[in-house]
Amino acid sequence: MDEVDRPEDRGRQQAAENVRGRPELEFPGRRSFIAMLIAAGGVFVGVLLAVPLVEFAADPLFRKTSEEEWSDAGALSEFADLTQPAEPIIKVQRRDGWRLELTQKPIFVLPANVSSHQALSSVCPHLGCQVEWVGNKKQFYCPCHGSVFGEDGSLLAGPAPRGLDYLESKVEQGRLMVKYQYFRLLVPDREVVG
Amino acid sequence: MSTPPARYGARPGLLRRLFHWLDRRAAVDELLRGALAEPIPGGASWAYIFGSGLLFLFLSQVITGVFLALYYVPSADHAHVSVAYIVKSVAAGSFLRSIHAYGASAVVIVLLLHLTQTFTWGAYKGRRELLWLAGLVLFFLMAGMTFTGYLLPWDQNAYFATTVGTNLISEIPWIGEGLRELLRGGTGMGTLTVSRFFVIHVFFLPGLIFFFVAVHVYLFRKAGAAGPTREDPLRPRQPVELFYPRQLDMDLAFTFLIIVALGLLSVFRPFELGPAANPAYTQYLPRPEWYYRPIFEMLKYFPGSLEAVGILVVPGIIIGLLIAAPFVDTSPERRPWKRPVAMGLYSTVLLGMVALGYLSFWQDRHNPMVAKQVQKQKQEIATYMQAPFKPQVIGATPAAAPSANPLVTQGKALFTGQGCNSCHGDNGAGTSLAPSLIGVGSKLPTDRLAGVIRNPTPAMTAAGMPSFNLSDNQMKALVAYLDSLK
Repeated sequence: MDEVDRPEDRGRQQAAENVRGRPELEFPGRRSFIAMLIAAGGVFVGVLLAVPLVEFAADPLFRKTSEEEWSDAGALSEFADLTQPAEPIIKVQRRDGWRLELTQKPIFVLPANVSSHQALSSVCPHLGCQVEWVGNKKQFYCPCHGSVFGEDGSLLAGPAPRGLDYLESKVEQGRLMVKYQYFRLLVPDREVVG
Repeated sequence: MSTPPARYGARPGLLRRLFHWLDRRAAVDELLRGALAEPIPGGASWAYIFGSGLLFLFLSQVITGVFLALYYVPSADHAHVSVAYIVKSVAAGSFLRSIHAYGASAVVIVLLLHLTQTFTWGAYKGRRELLWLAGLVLFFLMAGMTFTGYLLPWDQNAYFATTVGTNLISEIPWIGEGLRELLRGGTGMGTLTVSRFFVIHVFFLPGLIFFFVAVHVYLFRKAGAAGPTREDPLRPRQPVELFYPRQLDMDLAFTFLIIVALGLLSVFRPFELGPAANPAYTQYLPRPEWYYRPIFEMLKYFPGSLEAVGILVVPGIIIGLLIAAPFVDTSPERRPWKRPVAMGLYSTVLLGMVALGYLSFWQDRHNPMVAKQVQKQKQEIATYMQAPFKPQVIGATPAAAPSANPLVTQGKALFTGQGCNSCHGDNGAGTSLAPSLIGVGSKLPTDRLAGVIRNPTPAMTAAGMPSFNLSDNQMKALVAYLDSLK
């Protein structure tokens, strides 16, 4: 085996030591032109590579959290002769990265002339329970804490801080389209949260 | 050199003072000096650039890989859609994925160059056995990275190529079957296979690679650079030059070239993603990445019971020779023309691989059946790449607004009753077994739709679509239902 330190091995060490002894092998200073060039090149390439990485990682910031989607509540004719609120179930789409979440949400469509708004969210603005329509009293009633709302959704009684929230709606090709949204609970004014 | 004395009276600049502050606490200067003052016998050379190139590529793979994991989901249900999201929807997603995927090929190329240079220069000689072995270990770890990474997008080719690849493992005597099952997480390919390959690709192998890179670099600095081939491996006599600055410049120039090449390729020819894995597509011709083509081709010549020879014996001999090289070939002679046996063997294997790889591509082009199918698959990939991103629909497909058309209701009952939904999914949403039928009404006219349900095309039959002999009324209902899927 060659594990014994042989005299010729010292050649290597000698060579390394020579580095220090010979002026032309002096380790160049930090200020050398080449060093500056390398540093500048490195910074340039680094920045160049960082741009797509940042863009990639920050992609969700540049998307709307939930794309504004209009949901089909049904043909306008279905709601023409309402005497009390209809309770269509609409499908709500929510984009979540590569997923498209489909959920079904009950809403209220009001009879004409009751309110300036045609669609109401059925979520109680108190703590988010599902309100019910009580036909014989012509009122909306929240089963959780007993808030009562008039047939236009206005607050009549109870712990709720405001009336039922209206949903934006429009008519498109004879169909009632509704934008389903959530609203901040426990505040006196309607405020969209997503 | 500690900080040079500032010119009398002049206050050193802010940057300089900052560096000085840091240096006194962290000895940055000494650290850099230690790293950069590596003596190279015979001076800097373009022949020595490959190691640094590999180190850079590995870091690039780590960084791009970590970022890809921001979106990727390792499961059979979500792997493909999450990669599709990266490729088609996320800003710079296609670019980063291309850098990562092409980067794998670049690693293989530079690794082969590094190995060939080291071998040709006889740089495994002179107490460099461990250095050489650590390099070989890194070679196999990288091969493992390319193999496991290839499956992760879970597209057609990934699925089928890895099915074949893992089948090969089962040829190993005694433990082969068990090993394959262990790797797949079951007898077949499935969601556990994706998880396992992901963990191997992202945790196991990179951890080992970090460790062996450290070992490799440490042993390299310990043994010292071997220098030119006329140099004695143990007693270098050539005048030495320090790594910094000339060799560093060359290494950086090479790295810069790699970045530019990868960047241009990724911008102008983004790495493609095929349609999602469909195990029922039995006609599919899987092809491995180009660097596995030689093995792929070689296996054609070891039919049946001899296959184990192709899979185990031939690669085993080659690997054995590589491992044995520094132990067997111990003469201090390093000039390649004076080492005919070593160089002869190495170039035979290398040329053999090139020839086999070339042959594989040549045969694919010259067998009309194969060429046609390969062309078709290319077309399928191109079509898929052009289609906009389709998100994965989660949650109950809402009951379609009650249809006024009783035919549709009847058709829906038939769709479930005839078992269409078991492959095409509830409400025709599609499964891994058969495509989605949503919007099929706008793709095919009514009579054509009825036609292919009665008599599927050969491609459909091959993919597992049965023919359904329905009455005219039933067919009308079913087609009405399919038309309503939007």
